Amino acid sequence: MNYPALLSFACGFASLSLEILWVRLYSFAKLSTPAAFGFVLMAYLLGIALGAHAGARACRRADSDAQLWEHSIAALWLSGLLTLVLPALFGAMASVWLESAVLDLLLMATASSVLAFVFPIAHHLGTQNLEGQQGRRFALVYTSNVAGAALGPLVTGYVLLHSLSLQQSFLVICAVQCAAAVFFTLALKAKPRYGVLAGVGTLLALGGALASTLQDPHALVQSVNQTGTRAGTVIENRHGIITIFPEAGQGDAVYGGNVYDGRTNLNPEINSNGLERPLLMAALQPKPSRVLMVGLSIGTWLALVNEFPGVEQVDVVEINPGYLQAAQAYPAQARALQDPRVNVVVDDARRWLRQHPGKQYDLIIMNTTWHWRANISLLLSTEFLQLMQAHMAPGAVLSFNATGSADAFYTASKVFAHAYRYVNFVYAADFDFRARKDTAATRQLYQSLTLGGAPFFAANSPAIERFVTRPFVGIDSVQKSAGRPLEQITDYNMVTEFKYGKSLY
Amino acid sequence: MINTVLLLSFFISGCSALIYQVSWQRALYSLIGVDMDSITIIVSVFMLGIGLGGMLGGWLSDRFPLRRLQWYAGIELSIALYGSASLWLLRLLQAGLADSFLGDGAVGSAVASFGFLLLPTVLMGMTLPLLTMAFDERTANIGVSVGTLYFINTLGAATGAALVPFVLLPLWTLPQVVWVAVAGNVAVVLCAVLAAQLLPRTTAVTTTTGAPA
Repeated sequence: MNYPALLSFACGFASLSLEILWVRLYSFAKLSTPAAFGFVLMAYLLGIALGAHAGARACRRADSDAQLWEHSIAALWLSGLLTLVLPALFGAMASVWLESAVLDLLLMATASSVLAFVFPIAHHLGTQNLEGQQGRRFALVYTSNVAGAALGPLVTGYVLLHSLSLQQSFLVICAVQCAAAVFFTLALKAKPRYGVLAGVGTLLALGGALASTLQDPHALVQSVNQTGTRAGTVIENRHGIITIFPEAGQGDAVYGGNVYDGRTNLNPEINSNGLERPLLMAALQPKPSRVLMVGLSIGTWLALVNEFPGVEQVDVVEINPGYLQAAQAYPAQARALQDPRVNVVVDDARRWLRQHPGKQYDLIIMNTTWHWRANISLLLSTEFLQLMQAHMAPGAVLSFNATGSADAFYTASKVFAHAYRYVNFVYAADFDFRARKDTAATRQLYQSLTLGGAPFFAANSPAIERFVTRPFVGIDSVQKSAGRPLEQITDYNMVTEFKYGKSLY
Repeated sequence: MINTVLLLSFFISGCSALIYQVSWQRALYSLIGVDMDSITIIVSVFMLGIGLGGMLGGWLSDRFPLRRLQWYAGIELSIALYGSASLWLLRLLQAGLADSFLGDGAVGSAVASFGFLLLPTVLMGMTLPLLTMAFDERTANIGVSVGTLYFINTLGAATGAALVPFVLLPLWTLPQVVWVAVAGNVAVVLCAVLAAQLLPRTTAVTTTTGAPA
């Protein structure tokens, strides 16, 4: 058996698996800020570089192959230990609001450096003294590493994160490294002197972590959640992390990827979640027979839209099936999902719309997340709005949450003949719909709405008047108060993410 | 001198590779979606390509031991050519995919990523074995050679990973960022050509100074 190639494979597998897990952890902690991925990549690669450098020094200084094997086995043990310790340390720092780019960089660089230390050693062990075949033998060890690195994300992304929590996934990768260390010790009959100490320490830590994980599999996520309070519900799957915080009287707050996503409230008198925004769509399009919702979240708006008069069909495209699971705990939302008119598709919205070019809608509601989050440009860009426009029937209206981004509003105003802002939502169409808002018909419509058979608004509710009299805002006034020329978002410039987006620290 | 030039070239090569990776990943999201499946497919195809390239680079290194630097330069030039046409190719792919029997679904996404990423990643993967063997002619210790080169290459990659979100994308658009990577590849070609020019003289000097007195 080619043990150096196998060692190289194991290190590649563990290294890329850990990278996927660190991307998940750090991105969650940093609220899916676009630069988070680049920061992890930079820190991780820096660690790999330093580890490889140290490995090269070890190759230069080693007296024998046996010594290099000993180094490698000790490195596997140490990396296993760090796989448990570093994420816990990161979580502990986050839980006391200790935010430091340098410390975070050091943590992630340390995580990757130990396995990278083995990289040159494995190549050295697998290639030396083979005159004329060195290139091929080198390539075998190298390709084994890359094969492990290709398999790591597949196993971690598809299997571990799908069925285990982030904390449990770290635990599994720790166990994999421990198993590899044991295997090479036995297979090579190595006499690991200081490796024994590292091994014992790692196994003790593994036992402790296992006991802790059995008690609370989501402890790591809880420690880095931005609210500082414990989530009542945590749903982790390979698509993301959903946390739900119970709040009496306001409706539970739902967070996706550690940022506010919505609430479960369906009471307009409480209105902790801006119900007037989706509600306005019923007034702007009096015959909304075909509705498209991009983004389900907890399903609060779906429950409301299902009650709009004239709705015959609702297609919902949601990228994370975890929300379907979360909604089951809330009767109104669960009932909305079971409505025979509702068709929920778990897919990427852009991909799904391209696959269904013939679909036409009267109403499109996008439950878009914050304009500064990673990849949000794919939903706010000119290209995506044009794709939406192609799916709008005559007289259709589109709305989306611009979350305060003047550039997102500006982009809609460039794509559509008419685009106006109401609260923080942008409403767009190819006709002027503004006159439909503040009318007697709208008041009548709101008053007649029901939810689960009961009136949606209380009798003589002042909320109706408040909702219909809130003004539309035009792009000209927003441009004047912006303090800079507004920019049209495109797939290529991503201005809300990188140019005017949220900084990491 | 020759080692310094080669190390510099490999730093830039790593930097360009990461600029491509982040840029292409981003461009592919608009084509194949941004869910976990797409991300996993892209990362895996990247690794597969680099692995295949590693095998091919190792074979070439043994087959043409005297022309390793020329191959290295040629490969970097090919990456530059591919990079300069990459976003245009992606648009073609998008149009072709919609009309093909594969469609825009998961299978189509996987095929699109595979088709788009395989060639450049194979080319990128070929560079490490070729350069390691060229470097090892002077260090005569594979562990030291690969460790040093990997250190420099990955340091360049870390720089590239940081440049894209923190410097390049706040200033420029995605196509302009890709051109930065292309410029990096061209710089690598120039370094490799310079190193190849220096090679005979350096070898001669080493032989002379290394001779017993």
